[in-house]
Order: sequence, then C-alpha cells, then structure tokens
Amino acid sequence: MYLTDTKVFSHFHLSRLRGGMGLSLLILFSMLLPSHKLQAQQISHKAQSLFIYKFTRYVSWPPTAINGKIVIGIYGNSPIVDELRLMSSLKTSTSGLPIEVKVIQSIEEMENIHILYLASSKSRELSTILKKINKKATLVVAERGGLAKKGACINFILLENDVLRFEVNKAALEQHQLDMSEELLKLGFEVG
Amino acid sequence: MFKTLFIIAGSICVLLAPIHSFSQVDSLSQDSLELIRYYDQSLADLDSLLGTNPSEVDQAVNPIVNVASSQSLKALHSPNVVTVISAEEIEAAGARDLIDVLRMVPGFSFGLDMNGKVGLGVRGNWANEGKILLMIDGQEMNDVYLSKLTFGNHYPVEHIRKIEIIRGPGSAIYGGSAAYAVINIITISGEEYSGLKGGLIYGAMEGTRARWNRYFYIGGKWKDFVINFSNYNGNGQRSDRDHFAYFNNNFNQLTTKLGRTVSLADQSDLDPDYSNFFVKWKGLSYRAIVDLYKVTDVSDIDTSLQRPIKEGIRTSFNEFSYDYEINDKWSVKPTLGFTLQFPQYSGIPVPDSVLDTQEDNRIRRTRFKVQANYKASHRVNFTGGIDIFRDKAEASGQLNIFPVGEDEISYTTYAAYLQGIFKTPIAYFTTGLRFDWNTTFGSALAPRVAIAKRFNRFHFKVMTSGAFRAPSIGNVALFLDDRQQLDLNPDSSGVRIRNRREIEPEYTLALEAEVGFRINDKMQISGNVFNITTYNTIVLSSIQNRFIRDNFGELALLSVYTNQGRSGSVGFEFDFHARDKWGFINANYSYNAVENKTRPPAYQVTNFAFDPMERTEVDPTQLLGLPRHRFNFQGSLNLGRKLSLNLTAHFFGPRYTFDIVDEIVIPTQVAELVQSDPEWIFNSYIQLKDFPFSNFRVGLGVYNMFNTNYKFYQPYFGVETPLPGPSREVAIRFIYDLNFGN
Repeated sequence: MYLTDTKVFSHFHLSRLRGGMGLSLLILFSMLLPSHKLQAQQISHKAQSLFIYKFTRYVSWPPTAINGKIVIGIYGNSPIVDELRLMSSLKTSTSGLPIEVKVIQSIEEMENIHILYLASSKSRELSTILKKINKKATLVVAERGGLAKKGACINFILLENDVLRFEVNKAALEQHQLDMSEELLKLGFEVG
Repeated sequence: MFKTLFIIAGSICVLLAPIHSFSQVDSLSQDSLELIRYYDQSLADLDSLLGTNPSEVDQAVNPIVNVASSQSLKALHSPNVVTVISAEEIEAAGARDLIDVLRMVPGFSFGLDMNGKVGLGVRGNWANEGKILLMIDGQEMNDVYLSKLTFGNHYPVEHIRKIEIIRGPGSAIYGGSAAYAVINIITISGEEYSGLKGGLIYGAMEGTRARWNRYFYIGGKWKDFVINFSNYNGNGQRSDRDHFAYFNNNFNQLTTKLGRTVSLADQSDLDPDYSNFFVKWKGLSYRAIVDLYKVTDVSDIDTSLQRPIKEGIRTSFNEFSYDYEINDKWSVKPTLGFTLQFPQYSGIPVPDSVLDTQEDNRIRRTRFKVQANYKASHRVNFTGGIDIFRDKAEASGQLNIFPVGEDEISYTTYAAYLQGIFKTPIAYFTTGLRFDWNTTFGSALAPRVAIAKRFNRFHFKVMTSGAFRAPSIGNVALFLDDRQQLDLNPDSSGVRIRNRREIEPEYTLALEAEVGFRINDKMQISGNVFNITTYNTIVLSSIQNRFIRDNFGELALLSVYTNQGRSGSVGFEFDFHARDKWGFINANYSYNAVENKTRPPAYQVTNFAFDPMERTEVDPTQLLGLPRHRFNFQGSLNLGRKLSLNLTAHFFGPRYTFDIVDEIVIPTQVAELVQSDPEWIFNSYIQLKDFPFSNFRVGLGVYNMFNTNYKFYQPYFGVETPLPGPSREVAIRFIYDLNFGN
C-alpha cells in the first residue's frame, strides 16, 4: 500500500493480459473473423439501382440516340450489376422501351450507352471516359461523390442521415444533350 | 432393410418435389411483386431512401451526434474524439448512477474533491476545476460558483436516451468549462416517447443500505405539442467502509487527536432529488430542471463520532427557446436562460444555526444566446452565434457558504462564435473560432481545426483545438498568491482574502489524431493519440503560510485556488466494439504520461510536507490521484428474447495520494504519500424482461463482486484522506415501461 511497497506494474499487467484477457480476445477474434465476409462498405446498391431506374424515366435523351432500348453500361466491378439486371427484368423505361444492362470491360466498349455507371474503383478514369464519350447522349453516373463537379453528369452521395441523394452537373447534362425533369432535379444537388 | 428405407425416402421426395417447386414459384412471384413495388416508389418516397445498410456495430459507434459541432454529424465525421453511450448499454449494465456509466469512457477516472465530493479526471488530468462540461438536455450542470461537478447517486441514468461525449476541448462552441471533455446527456422526451416509465432500485452493501431510489417519467406528443416530466429522488450511501475524518475545529483543542477513523455506513449520504420538465409547441419550448443534491461532509466529525454536516446545492434551471426555420437555408434559435443556485446546509456546528436554507447566499446566472445556422449548400454549413451571460453572487453574513467577500460580485461574458463545416469529397473539414470577452478577465480566442475522413473500412481524424476559461466567482473569491493578504474573520472562524481578482484565466491547447478500422460488420476498433497542454492552470490545493501558521497552528492548511503554470498530458486510447445477435462487447484501454509535461506543484507526486519547499517529486511519470492505465470491459449476452446477462470490468493502474499517518498528532509527520495496487472492479447484472407481467422488467446486480477496496484519491495536494468507494453491493431493480407509441 505504501510507497515502499513498489509494484512492477507493466509486468503485472502484461502477464494478466497474456493469461486471461489475451486468451479471451484471441477466442473472440477467432470466433468472429471467419464467420463474416469482409465488406468494404455497406452501400445499398439496390437503392442506387432504384435511382438509376428513375433516371431512365425522368431523363430525356434525344430521339436519334434511342434505338429501341435503353442501355445501362456498368464500368468497374460492382454488385450493382445484379440489382440492375433484376430491375431490368421487371421494369421498362418511360416510353415502354426495354432496359438492357451491359457490363463494360474497357473504355473502347462505351458505344451506344445511355447510362454509364462508373463504379468507385474506376473513378480515376473519368477524364479519359469523358474524352471518349465526348458529346454523346450518355448519362455518366458516378458512384463516388464529387465526380459531378469533375464532369460526370451525376454522382451519388450519402447524407449524414444515410439518405441517398445525388449531385447533378447541369452543364454536363446539356453537353450530353440530356434533359432532366424538374421533379427529379429537386431530389439532387446542383454542382459544377 | 436399408434398400426399403431408401425407396420410401425417395418416394417421399418425389411426392414432395412439386409442392416445393410450387412454393418456390410462389416465393419468386412474391419477391418479384415486392421488387416491382420497390421500383414503383414515387420520387417523393426517394426523399428518405436510405443509401446504406448500416451494420450493428456501425449504428453503435457511428450514430449521428450533435455534441462536437452542435450540428448533426456522424460520430466518425465529428471534429472530436467521440464516445456515444446508448440507453441499451446503460440498461444492460444495470448502471446505478453516472459513475457506473462514465467509468466506461476511455480516459475517464473519478477522484476525490473537497468534503467527500467526487469529481472527474480526464486523460490523467484533474478536470473538476471547471475543465469538463456536463449538460443535461442542453443545461449546464456545472455549479456556477466553482464550475464543478459532483458524482455519486446524483443524476438519474434511467431517463437517458443517449450520452454523447467528446474527449478533448469543446470550447470553440461551448466556451469555458469544456477544455478537457463535454458530456452531453439527452434524456427521453415526449417527442419520441409517449408513455409512462417508473422504477425502483434498492441496493445493499455489506454493512448498510446502499441506495433506495425511485423515479418516474410521463410524456407524450399531440400534433405540435410535446410535454414530459420526470422525477428522481431517493437516498444512498457512498460506502460502508472505515474512513478517517477530522474533528471539527471546536473539538480539536479538546483532544490530542486530529480525528478518528469511523465507518461511513449511514454517515455518507448521497441524496438526490431531481426533476425535469419540458414543454414544446411548434418551435417554442420551455425547460425547467430542479436539482437538489445533498452530500454528507465525510471529512468532518464531532465528539460523538458522527458526521453532522450535510451539504447540498439546490439549482433551478429555466430556459426558453425558439427554433425558427426562416427558409431552407437559414435557421435561428434564440435562448433565454435563468439559473438560480443556493446552498442547503444542515448540521453546521455554529451557534444559532441549523441552517437548512441559505437563500440569501444565492448565485444567479442569466444567459442569452442566439445561434444561427446557414446551409450554404449540401456540403457547406455555417453555424454562428452570440452568447452573453452574467453571473452574480450576493454577499452574505455567513462567510463559509459560497464566500464572495463583503460585496456583491458579478461578471459578464460576451462571446461570439463561428464554425464552418465543409463536407468535401476529399474529407470533412471543420474550422471554428470562439471569441470571449469577460468584463473582468479580458478577451481570449478558442480556435479549432479538424479534418475527418472515412474511406472503405478506415477512418481518421486530425484535430487541434483551443479552450479558454475565465475563472468562476468561487475561483476569484478563494484565490490566493503572494499578492493577496489574509484577514481573520470577525468571529475568528476562518480567514478572508483581500485584494481579490488577481487570478488569471486558463487556456488549453489540445492536439489529437484518431484512426479507426471496421474489422467486419460486427467489430470496430479505433485508437487515438492526444497531447493536451493547459496554461495558467487554475488549481485548488491546500496551502500553509506564516499567517495561517501563526493564527491556526502548525497543522492548519487553507484550501485556495492558485494559478500554477502549465499542466497537461500525452497519451493514447484504444476502443473496441463488437455487436451481434448474441449481444455486444465494448472494451477500451487508455494510457497517459506526464513526464515530458510541466507538472503543477499541487499535482506532483511528492513526499508530504506542509512547506512546498520541503517537497520533492517522487514519481514524475504521473500526477496525484489518477491512474496512468485504465481498462474497461462491458460484455452483454442475450440469453433468449427476455433474459440478458452483463459483465462489466474496470481496471485502474496504481495511483498516488496522501493519507494520514496515524490518528495521533505528530507535528512533523501528519500524512505520507501512499500508492495503491493495481485494482479491478467487476460488476454483473442480469435482467429479465416482461417479468412478472408484460411491460415490467426486473434486474439483479452484484456490483464490486470481489469486494475490492477501491478508494477515491484526491488528485491535488490536500489532506482529504482517501474516500472508500462502495463495498460489494447487491441491488435489485423493478422497472415499469408502458410505451403508448407516438
């Protein structure tokens, strides 16, 4: 109790950790780690897919760009592919046109795409993609926040309360000959 | 035989196959219909469409909090190191009071203040001298006189909806008293809980009744009208162990002893009486909190070996506010508050006074605040405001109670603050500045800059912030250094300090960095490092000088406030959380070091000597009263839908304090430095829901299971002998919870 009764604290503490607490923690980790798949982020791709479906209905493409269907291209690995395929099997665009979902492997394949979904992993290629698309009627939808300001038409963002919204670059929409309804615009935040 | 069985099983499979297929088709059609409905949602429905599926651990460690910035931000985006404690965690632990709850916070440790009162230390630094802010529903609970907090069966934990805590300065928004931490308690209100709640808790220690508390809540919401009221009252005991108390001065001369060691059983009252009323119509609201908390002064004893003095402070908080949304971008909230505080004493051993109420000795705070918020865009938000408050203390003939001298004292503080939050794609940037001008202590700035970023499973924060605190009325009244002179009170019962108002305001600068990693959907770990420096530290300590020696003898000490230069600490904290259907685990470890910091003389671990010149520092690695190492664990296990079992463990590294050597007066060696062993406290709690009837809950807890003799130590130079905490306590709790639903 008294000062003369010195204690080697670090030794005491570590030895307890090794014996009891350390073992408990080890068991805890070994029990839980293998049982759960590691996920990068809990993004709801189903919610993004719903927004993309609404884009097919509330964004207008020039008639010359429509060729009997609305094509959604996905560039970069993303679980949204499955969600969009499910959606396209059940729904059509405004004018009753079927929706086709296409996985794009390279920038060269970006022809005749009406909506291009750019997965986060491919964000760095935005400027190259924009050069490739040039002024074609393609709605570039980026998964990563902030890309609308860099030339994408739309990017998704999460608000603090986890609500999904999007940022929209009206200048980019115009450049791609696209028109978004005022009703849909109200849900987004204009940038650019 | 085997062949027959095989054929029968095969036949059953063939027969059942179409049924299975039909059910699959049905199930698919059902899924498809649900999906079609999902995609048919209107644009208006998308207004609240969630874009994430937050995991259980994410909901626990990353909820939206307001405490760090006064704006709604995710904890991991907030410009402070944030801890959030939910009602679920408090309930699972069977927490008896805020000591049980706040002990779980990394870096928080309790210490002994004057007269048997218990306060908080943060990250190795004593914080009870106005360096930690406690708010309940926006009302500052720190007493106006000294900016202190008192813990132990005080504030109710049963009404808490959640606690948001920042470890580190919050002064850029909250001003003084927020240099080391801010504890923001949000209680349930009619806004989100329409119903009735009530409960009883009875606890028994080894040698006395530990507590007998009652509480209830009633509240509801009807359209734009919200109303709720809660009350918590009862009585408790700090401990049932033996404790050394000093004989009152009047008796000191009659005996050869300084005092006696006497049990605290039934002599260490902790009696709360707390009410909280709230009413709101649209944006207009009124809140009143009345808090009367009485504590036995365990340091004082009379010849019949009783502790006669019970000290209390009655505080009433009244606040009117109006939340006005001017348009989509602008909102403004004016607030007008009145706080009235006066002491309640009983058993003071002076003639003509069984003083139960000292309303002549009151302190008032009048406060006017206006906070405006401007949403420049969805990514940029500005908050600014003005905060004007006036503290006024009235002089009283009873000089020992809230002493302010012979004149009324009043100070006015004018403050303005501005904060910008920039949610850029690169990171969240928060920058803020608060300017305070005090009519007595001049002006000061409290700046803040923070960067927070979350990417994939990582997050990090870098923060720097300052804090400024003008001394409180009590700090001024009880300040003494070489420039002051002492006078005897007319009745020779004590001393008065002349030439007041020389005390300097204190400043704090904190640098912090935090890194976190989400191990998987169910586990999250984070760690932070900190470096805190306080300048002109306002310190309470016991001193002796020639005047005191000449008038009161060789053993007399006077408790006064002084500025003692720099103080602070560096250290790190780790925090681990796991959540799953089986329950949850919270564990954290904190470490602080002071050897590379300037250590105020009153906080240093030295030998005991009345004369500061005769003290030599013994251990430069830590300060008095508080441990360097802390570890906390809470594990809660759901044993079915109704039954849960909780285990809480707290580890305290060795601590130092001064303790009395012997009850016999030995002029040269009254007290000596002592060091505690490393200590553990284990609590367990089992809870049964819907028992014996629905809406009822019953909980049984065993606290301090192994009867550790934990004592609260005084974290500054003084002669308050170590105060024993409760021994093993068995407590039973009955709760009735009838939620009408909103």
